[in-house]
Amino acid sequence: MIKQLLNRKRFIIAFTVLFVCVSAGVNFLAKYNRQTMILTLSYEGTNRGLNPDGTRFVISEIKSESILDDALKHANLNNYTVSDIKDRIDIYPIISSASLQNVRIKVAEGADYAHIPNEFRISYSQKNKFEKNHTVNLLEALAKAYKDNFINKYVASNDCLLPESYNNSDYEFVEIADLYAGKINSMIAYLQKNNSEAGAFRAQSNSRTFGDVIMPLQNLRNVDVEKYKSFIIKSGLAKDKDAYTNKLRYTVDIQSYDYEKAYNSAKFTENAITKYDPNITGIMFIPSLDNIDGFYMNRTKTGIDYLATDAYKRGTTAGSIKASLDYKKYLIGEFESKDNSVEEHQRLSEIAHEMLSTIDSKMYEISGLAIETDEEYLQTKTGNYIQFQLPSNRFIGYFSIRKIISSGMTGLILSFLYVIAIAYIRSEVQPSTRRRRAISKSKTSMEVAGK
Amino acid sequence: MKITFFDVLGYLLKWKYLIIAITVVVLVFSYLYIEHRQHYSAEVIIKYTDSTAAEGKTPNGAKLDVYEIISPDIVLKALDKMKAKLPVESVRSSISITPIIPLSEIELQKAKTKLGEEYAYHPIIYSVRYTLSKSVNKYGDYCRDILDNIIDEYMIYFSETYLNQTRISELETGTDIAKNDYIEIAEIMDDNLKDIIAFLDSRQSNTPNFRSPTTGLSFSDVLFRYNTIRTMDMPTVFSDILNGRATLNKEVLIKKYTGRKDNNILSANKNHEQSNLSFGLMEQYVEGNKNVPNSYNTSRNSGNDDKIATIDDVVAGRYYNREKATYDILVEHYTNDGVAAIMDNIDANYCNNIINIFSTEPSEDVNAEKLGRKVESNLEKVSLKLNEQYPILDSTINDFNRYMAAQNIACLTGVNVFATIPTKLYMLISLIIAFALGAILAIAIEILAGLKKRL
Repeated sequence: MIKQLLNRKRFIIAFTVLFVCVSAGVNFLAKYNRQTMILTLSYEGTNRGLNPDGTRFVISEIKSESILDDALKHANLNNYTVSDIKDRIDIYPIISSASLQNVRIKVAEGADYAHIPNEFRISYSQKNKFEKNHTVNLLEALAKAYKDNFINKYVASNDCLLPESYNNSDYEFVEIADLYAGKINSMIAYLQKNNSEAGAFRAQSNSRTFGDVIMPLQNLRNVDVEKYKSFIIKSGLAKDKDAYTNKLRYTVDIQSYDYEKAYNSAKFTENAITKYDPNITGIMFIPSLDNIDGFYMNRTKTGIDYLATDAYKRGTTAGSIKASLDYKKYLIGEFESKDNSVEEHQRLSEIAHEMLSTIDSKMYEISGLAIETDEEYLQTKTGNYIQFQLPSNRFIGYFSIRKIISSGMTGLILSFLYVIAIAYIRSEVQPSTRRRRAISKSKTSMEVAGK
Repeated sequence: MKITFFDVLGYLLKWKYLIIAITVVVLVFSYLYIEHRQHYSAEVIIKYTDSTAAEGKTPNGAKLDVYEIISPDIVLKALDKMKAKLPVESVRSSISITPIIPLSEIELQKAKTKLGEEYAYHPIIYSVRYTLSKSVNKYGDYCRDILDNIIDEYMIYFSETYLNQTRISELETGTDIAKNDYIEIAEIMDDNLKDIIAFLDSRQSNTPNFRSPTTGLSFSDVLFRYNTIRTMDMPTVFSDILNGRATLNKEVLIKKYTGRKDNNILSANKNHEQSNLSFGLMEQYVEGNKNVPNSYNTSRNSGNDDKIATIDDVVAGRYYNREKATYDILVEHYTNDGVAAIMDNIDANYCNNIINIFSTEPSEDVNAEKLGRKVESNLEKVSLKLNEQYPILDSTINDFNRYMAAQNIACLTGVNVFATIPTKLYMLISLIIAFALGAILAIAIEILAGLKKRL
């Protein structure tokens, strides 16, 4: 057998080389026209099929018009439209085909089980095969467009850290203080959430932690803004004092109605509690189940509970309205008690604007630090949220050594089999054929001789 | 005629081109047939996570109807989102929804039925499957995307409908400013602001950590913006209207508020009467129950001869909400109607105040004309501010609804897609059959040729 193989070595080598070339060519054509990248999701909620913001993750968004449009722009494919490429992109989750059945079985067995893919295979097949190949280019652009959109859409932006100036607003001086306080509170709330998530995080660019940024904001609110507000109130400074005190009076009137409503309601409800016959609870049983599903009759005090809760809520509302009313009345008193001359008003206004300018400059400075720190944190936090494993764009990348070796082995085996089979058939089939031919020849010659 | 194995091999070698041709033709036809008959199925398993689902209810107490997934409205929205040109009805009829019931529940149901007892189980896990012919779209992921979007739209619908996460409509103020009186427009704006603030306030206290990814704002941030308009801008408008007696028609305005005051008084009287009625019934209820056995027990289990334990002050169990007894309902009516009467009387006082103000002339130091112009300008400013804030409010609520939707309906699997006919297996079978056909034909030809020679 080895002798036969050695005799046909040229054929074997030629066949193997031809086989390797053809399979590499087919593989090249297939890869050249259709490239695949892998998307991996990695953040809290991935295993529940959620986006980072807790909304449902929908993979088909990658084929949405806006993302494909961005991808075409990134890839500079100006002569292509979204509809040209939309149907040429396939997305398949990388998950065992039996996973759905596994979930079904485990759920039927009563298990709390879920299996949601976090890896997807995204393929693009170029339509015009004779054009310059742009498959890898487009997949790269698609990955960028999708990642940008994903972070933008599902990771909360830090827009609330942007500074705002109320120095030139139409609002009254005293109201401006409240606007600054509100804005600073909003910034602090955002930063405090990050601080609780990553208290030890320190930005490399400015060496600040979130705590380092929160503190100056608190100081700005508790020192600068408070100082400014006290200055305004104690100076009785208003852009239009009459209009402002009229507005305060109107607010007092309206809040007085609200207070009257809340206070009288609370009193009425309190009074209702005294009218509630406590003995009636003896006949009020509500069938209930306890935490170990034991059945019992619940001797509830539902009615009194409800009344007490309602009275408490109404009383609290009345209390907070009263506090607000008192403050408004205090403001009216303060502003009406001051009668600044035009010159004094001018002087005080200048001081107020200076104070506001100081607040503004501090806010801009802290806001810059806050944004810088937060951006760095967001990059660290969201950097691994989605990752793409892109295909190689190098020519050599279209050829797989493993596939070349395996096709070489296959070619070799096939050629061996062919040589052996042919040799075997020739040795076994051809002698019998020759024998038949000889018999038929002898028969023919005998017939001729007989004639 | 005796044919050896090697003879067969020889025949096959001799007729190799015929066999190859037959195999190719059969494979091509098989492939075309499979492609024609091929369907894709997309499937996802969903679970209602709210505890009310186990009672067959939605979080707001309405009956849970899982078939709302295929309601025309939801399917249409999903198709529109994908710009898919498929008939809604064909999609609806191609979706099947199957409950997945735990085996333990099935066993329990059988046992109960055997004992003749009633047993109700409300499934909370469902498999939703959509099947699409390959002739409609040759890509399987198209089928997956349609189901994915339908589930997404359903979750939003569920959140908006059953979790009271409604959208707030934008206030149309543009035409109203020209048509209505100043105070009426200001009141419309103020009421709108009040509703929005109440909405945001409740969301802020229930989900203080939520932050919209679109706007980057929390409910607290949005609330602050609306509170600023309501507490700083609106009082300026009202105060100027009242000080300048700004009105387009004083007579009509006074009569309108007089009418409103009368209605408030009538409503107060009605509520007062109802409250008194409830109070009367409360007293009668107590009297009537004094003679009922076990009534007015002052100690636990005294005279109570049933074997069920009575426990005081226990919060209602897992399956029972805090139910109210008849007496509690009477007390509730008494309180609510009494409080409503108080509110009506105060509202009547407010109307009376407005009437009094507009019945007098503004003070001499007030430039009514100038204030009127200022009112118009301020109303437009507030309207502009409301219009600026609305897209922020809408996007924040929209993000919140999507967030809440995913919290109440969980997907236990991704949306899986598979071909209903396994093409590779069928092609392999076709290949074997085609080769066998070719081989049989080759052998038959040789046998016939042999027979012919013999004859």
